[in-house]
Amino acid sequence: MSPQTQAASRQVDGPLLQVTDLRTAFRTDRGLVKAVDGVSFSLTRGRSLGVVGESGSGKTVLSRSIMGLLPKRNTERSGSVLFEGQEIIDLSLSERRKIWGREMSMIFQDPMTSLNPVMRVGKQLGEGLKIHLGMSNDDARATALKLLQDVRIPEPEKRLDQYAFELSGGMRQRVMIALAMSCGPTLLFADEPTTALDVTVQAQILEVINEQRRDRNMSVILVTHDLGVVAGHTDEIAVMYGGKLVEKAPTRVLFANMKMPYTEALLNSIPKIEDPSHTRLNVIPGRPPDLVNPPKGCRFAPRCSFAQSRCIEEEPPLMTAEHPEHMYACWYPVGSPVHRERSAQLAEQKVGAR
Amino acid sequence: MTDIDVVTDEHAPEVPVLADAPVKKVKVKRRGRITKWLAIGWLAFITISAIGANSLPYIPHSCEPGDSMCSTAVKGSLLLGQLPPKWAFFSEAPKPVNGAPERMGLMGTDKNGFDIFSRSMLGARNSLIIAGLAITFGLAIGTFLGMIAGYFRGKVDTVIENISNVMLAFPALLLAIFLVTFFNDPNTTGAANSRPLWPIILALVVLSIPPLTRLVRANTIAYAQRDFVVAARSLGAKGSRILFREILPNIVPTLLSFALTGLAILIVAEGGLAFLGLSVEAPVPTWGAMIAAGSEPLRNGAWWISLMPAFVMFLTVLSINLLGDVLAQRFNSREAIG
Amino acid sequence: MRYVLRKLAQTIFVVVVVTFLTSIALRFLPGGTDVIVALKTGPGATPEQAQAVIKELGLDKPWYTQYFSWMTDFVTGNWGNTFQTNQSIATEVKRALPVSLYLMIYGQFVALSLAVPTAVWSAYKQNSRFDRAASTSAFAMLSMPNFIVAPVLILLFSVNTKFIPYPSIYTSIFDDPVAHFKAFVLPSLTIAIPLYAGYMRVLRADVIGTLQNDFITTARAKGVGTGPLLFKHALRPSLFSIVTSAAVNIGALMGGVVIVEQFFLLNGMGRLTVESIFRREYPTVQYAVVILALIYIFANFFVDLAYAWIDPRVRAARALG
Repeated sequence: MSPQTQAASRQVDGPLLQVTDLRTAFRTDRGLVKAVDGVSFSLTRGRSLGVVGESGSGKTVLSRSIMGLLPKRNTERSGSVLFEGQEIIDLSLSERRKIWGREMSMIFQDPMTSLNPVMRVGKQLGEGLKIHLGMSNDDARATALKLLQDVRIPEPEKRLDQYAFELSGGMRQRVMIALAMSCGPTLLFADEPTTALDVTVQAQILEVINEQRRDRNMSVILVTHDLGVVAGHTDEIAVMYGGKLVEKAPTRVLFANMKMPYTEALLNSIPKIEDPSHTRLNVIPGRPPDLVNPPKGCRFAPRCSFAQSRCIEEEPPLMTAEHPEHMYACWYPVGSPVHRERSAQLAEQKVGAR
Repeated sequence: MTDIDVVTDEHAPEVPVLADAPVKKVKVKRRGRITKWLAIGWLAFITISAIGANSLPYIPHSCEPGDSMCSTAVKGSLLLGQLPPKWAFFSEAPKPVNGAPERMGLMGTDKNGFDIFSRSMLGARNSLIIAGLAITFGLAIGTFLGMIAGYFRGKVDTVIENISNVMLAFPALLLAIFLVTFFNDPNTTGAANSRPLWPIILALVVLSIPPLTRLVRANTIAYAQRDFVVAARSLGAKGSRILFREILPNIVPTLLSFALTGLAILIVAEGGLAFLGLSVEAPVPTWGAMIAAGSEPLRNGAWWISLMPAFVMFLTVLSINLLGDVLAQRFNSREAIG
Repeated sequence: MRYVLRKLAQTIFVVVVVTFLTSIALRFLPGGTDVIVALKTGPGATPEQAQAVIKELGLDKPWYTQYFSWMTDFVTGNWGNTFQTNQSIATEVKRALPVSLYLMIYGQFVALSLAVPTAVWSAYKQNSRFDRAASTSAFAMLSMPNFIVAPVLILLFSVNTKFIPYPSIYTSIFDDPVAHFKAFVLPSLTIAIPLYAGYMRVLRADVIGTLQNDFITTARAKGVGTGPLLFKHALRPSLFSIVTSAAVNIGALMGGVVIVEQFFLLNGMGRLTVESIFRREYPTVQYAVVILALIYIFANFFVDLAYAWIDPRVRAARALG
C-alpha cells in the first residue's frame, strides 16, 4: 500500500486540528516573550488556512509550536492541540518524532538552507520513508523518484543523485515539497514557502502545494506575511498580530468585508497595479508590540489610526461578524460609525496636507 | 530522551524585538569578569616576581662557579636537596640529615637544593623576555609583510605567500630546533654554558612570522575592500598613506589579540626548546629546563620538581590565553555592532 | 581532477624547496667545513683525510650538483654512516620511524575520537552543565603543552599506581600487543590532550553553527532521531574547520612527538633528531628532518583532498577553477 492511499483511508470525525488557547513563550533575560498568546482555531481535513501577519506577529512560532518543533528548554507552552482527536501538546520527543513527517510536515522559507548541503537529494527524500515506513533502500529510491515526478521536477531521475546546490531555487523548493509529502502527511505547514523565490516561480510553487493538497486530501497551513499569496490559495485566513489572532474568516468573506483596521492596513501596504507609479506605499507606522510587556488594551492600538481611548484601555475579545465564521477583535471595526468618522477626518487631513 | 529539539540557540527564528543579549550570556559575562581579573592578577604577580626574582627571600636559586653563595648551596644541597613543599604533608620526604627540615618553601627544592619557587620566578623572567621580544619583532615584521601582501597583492603577494608556504612546510618545533642549533654552534658562540639569548629569540621570530603574515594579510584584504579605503583611494591617497593611516589603525585591535595568543604560543615553544635543552643554558633557569630536570626524580615520587614549574607555566599561559580570548571577543562584538 | 593536479604541483614545489634547503644546509654551518671534518675524523686531520670527507659529503661540488647527488642518495637509501659511531643512518631511521608514526597516529586518533562525540554533544546541549564543563576544561587543556601533561600523567598512572611502566619501552605490535599498547598509552594520551582541546573547541563552534541551519529543522521535522540527526546530518557539514585544524596540527603533533619521546625515553625520530643535534651528527639531522617534513607535507596534501569529500560544493567549485 502506498503511503498516500494509507493516509487517505484513515477515517476521522470532527476537525483534523483543533487548537485551543495555545500559548507559547520564550524565556529571555528581559522576561517572558509571549510569542503566541492564547490562539484558538480549528481546521477541517482537506482545507487550507492562511496565517498572515508581519514579522514578529508570532505566526512562525505558532506553526512550530503546534508541531512541537520548538526547544523545550527555554520555551513555555500551554493550551491544547488536538490532532485527529488526540492531544499532542504533551507528547515526548520520541512520540512527537513518530508524528513528524508521517502525520504533519513542514516546508520552510529558504530552500537553499533547508536542504542538507552535503546529502544527495535522493537520500534526503528516502530518509523519512526508511524511518517511518521501514522501506528498503531500493524502495525508498523508487518512491523518491515518484515523489519528484509528483512535484513535476524536470529530469527527476537525474536529480536523485544531485546535491541541493546543483538545483535552482524553484527546484529546491519542489524537492522540499516532495520531502514534506514523502510519508503522506495529513497536515502540511508551509512557512513562507515562496518568500525566497522569484516572483515567477512563486505561483508555480503555490500551485504545486495546492495540487498536492487536493490529490491527498491534506490540510495546509500557509504562513506568510503577504496577503496576496493567501488570497488565491487558501480557504480561510487567520490574521495574527502581537501573538494573538485578531481576525479570522473564510478567504472570500475576509476580502469582501474585513473588520480589523490592521488587516486593512496589511492589504493597503501591498502596492496595487492600478496605482500611478511613484505612489507612496502605505506602510504601517511604528513597530510590532513588545511581547514581554504587551500593551494593556488592543495590541494594535498604538499604531492604529482609528484607535480610541477604549482601545488603549480595554482589550477587545474575539467577536463574531455578520458571517458566522468571521471572527474579529476590534472595538471599532471597519465600517462602524466611529471608524467611518475617523477615516473621513484622515482623508480631509491628507487633502489639507497637500 | 532529551528535551532540546531543534533550535539550539536561545530563541526561535521569530522571537520579536530581542534587542538585548539572552540570559545566559550575562551569566557568562560576569563569570568572565572574575576570571579576567584573576588572570590579570596572576600576570602582574609573575611580572613583579620576575623583576625582583633575584631578591626573593629564599635560598639561592642558581649557582655561578666561584660564587660564595654556591658553596653554601652545594653544602646545603646535602641537607636540602629534593625537599617537598611545606604544605605537601602527604609527600614522603627523604630522611632529614642533621635535623634539617623535612619540607621546604612554597614549592619545595630541587636536586641541588635550590628553591623551586625562586627559580620558577627567574624562569618567568627568561621565558617572558624571550617570548615577549620574539613576538614583538615577529609581529612588527609579520604586520609589515602581511599588509604589503594584502594591499598590493600581485607579485609581492605571490612571493611572500610562497616563502611562507615553504617555512610552514617544516613542522614548527623542528624548524626552531634546526635554527637554534645552527645559530648556537659552539664554534661561533664560545663555551657551551654562556649561550646568548639571541639565537633562540631569532628562531622564535622566524617561527612566528609566516602565520602572523597570513593573518595580517587576510585582515588587510578585508579592510582594503571596505568603503572608507576605497573612498580614500578614489581621492588619490597614496598606498603608504592608506596602509598606515586607514588600514593599520583598524587592524591594531586584531593585532593585539594576535600578540597575546602569539605570546602564549611562543612561551610554550620556548618551553619546548628549553625542555630539549636548546634554550638558554643550564644554570640559568627556564621553565622547560626545570620540567626536564624533574623528569627523573619524578620516577621516585619527587613530583614537585617537575610539576611546580609546570603549574606556574600553565597558569601563565592560561592567563594570557584568557586575556587573548577576552580581547578577541570584545573586538569581535564591536565589529559586529559597528 | 585539475584541483588535485594543482595541489600536487604545489606539493612537489614545496618538497623540492625543502629538500634543497636541507641538502645545502651543511654549507652554511657556522665554522664551515672544518667543523664537519673535525667531527668525522677527530681533531688533527690530515689534508687528505679532510679532502676525503668533503668529497664524501659532496661539499666540493657546486650546490646544484650537490643537490642532485644528495637527492639520489636520499632516494636510493644510500645515506652513509654516522660520524662518531659509524653506524648506518638508514638503519637508525628505519628503527626510529615506526615509533614516531605510531605515536602520531595514536595521538591523532585518540584526540579525534574523544573530541568528536564531546564536541557534538556539547554543541547540541549548548550551555548545559556538560557543555560548560567540557568547554572550560578544553580551554584549560589548550594551555597545557605536552611537557606539562606528561609529568601529570606519569605521576598519576606510573608513579602512584604503577599501572603503566615508565619509561616506555617500545615493543612491536606484532610481538606483544599488550606491551605495545602499554608502552604507547601514556605518550599517546600526552600528545592527544592538547590536540583534543583544540579540536573540541573548533568542532563545537561549527556544530553549533550547523545546528542553527534550517536543514536540521527539516531533518527533525522528517522525524529523524537525535543520534542520526547529529551524526548523519550535522556532523559532516561541520567538519571543515576540524579537518583544517587537524592538518595544521600535524606540525604541533610532530613537535609533541619530539617532546614526548624525550620525556618517555622512546627511541623515535624526535629523539633521534635531538640526540643527533647534541652529538652534532648533522647528516642524521638532515635525513630525520627531511623525513618528518615530508610526512608533514604529504599529510597536508591529503587533507586538501579530504575537503572535497566533506563538502561536495567545494568539489564542484574546485572542479571549475
